[in-house]
Amino acid sequence: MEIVVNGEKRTLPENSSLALLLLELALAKQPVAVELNGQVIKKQNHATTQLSEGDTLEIVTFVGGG
Amino acid sequence: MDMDIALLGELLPVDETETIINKPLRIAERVFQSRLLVGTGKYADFKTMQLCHEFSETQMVTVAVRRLDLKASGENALLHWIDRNKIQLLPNTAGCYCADEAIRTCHLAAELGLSQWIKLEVIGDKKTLLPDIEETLKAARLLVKEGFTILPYVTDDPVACKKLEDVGCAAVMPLAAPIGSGLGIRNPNNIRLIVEAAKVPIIVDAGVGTASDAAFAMELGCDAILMNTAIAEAKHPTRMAQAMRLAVEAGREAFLAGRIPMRAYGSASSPMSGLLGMAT
Repeated sequence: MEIVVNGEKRTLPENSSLALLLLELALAKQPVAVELNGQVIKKQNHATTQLSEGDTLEIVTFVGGG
Repeated sequence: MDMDIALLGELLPVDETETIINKPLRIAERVFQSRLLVGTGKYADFKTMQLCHEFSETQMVTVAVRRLDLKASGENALLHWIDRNKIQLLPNTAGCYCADEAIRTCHLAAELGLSQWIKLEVIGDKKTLLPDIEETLKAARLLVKEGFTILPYVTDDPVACKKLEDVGCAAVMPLAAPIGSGLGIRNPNNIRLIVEAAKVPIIVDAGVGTASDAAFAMELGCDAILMNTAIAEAKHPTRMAQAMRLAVEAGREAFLAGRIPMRAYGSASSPMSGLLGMAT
């Protein structure tokens, strides 16, 4: 299935969970927040959140700013 | 004699009965010894930023919420360079142009799990980066209800500042001048009026260019100052960080000390009696 992560298309196996995607992206080293189709998904729900075809994800972190 | 000369170089003992105690800055339920808030953007590199934070002795730094660079390793991420035992994070909503965008950014910042405090910034104009007061107020009202500690960036307008205080903002942050402009305090009278009316801390945010601007803001009675560009883009950022720390402290002390009134004419400091050759 195809999803969009931070504006880029990505192909994932069917029935992938959000936690699996984050594992694949190797994001363990810094805090991230995830929005799935405009809704914030809390960390404790990452493992139980199933992704589906056409989902749009935003993965954000803290960067320098004033 | 020798001892007297040595003492001249030291600070005179302060008579506590004649000074107003310099209480630490209190915002919401937290207390800060430092009255200088610093940004984390525009530095040449993270090492320079970290040194600037050290030299400034800041206890609160702003950060932005942005899409993660999926190609970067994460090894060199911003947070590795901020000592969170000493420094509190203040996530901002920079780049938002309406209340909904700002609220969305706040929810993501909260999910990042490091701070429920937000520098609320809703921009109304791309060219000047001046804030949209209507949208800022709308977002502030909702976010305060949701339990966020809100510190809004706002125009140097006493009425707008009062409205933000009234909706429950923990501090109010009027600009000195447009973000990154370095123009200094453009309307000192407004800043003075804002300070006079406020029951929450007033933090001058944006537009400071050099140390005298920071000292001036503090002399006007502001509780703290937030700056980024003035330090990050100085020729020697760490040196400027130190200058800003000293300026904020000096300005605060001068405010507490109470300056003399301005006079149109001279007022001699030496006695006018006993002048040589004077007729008695």
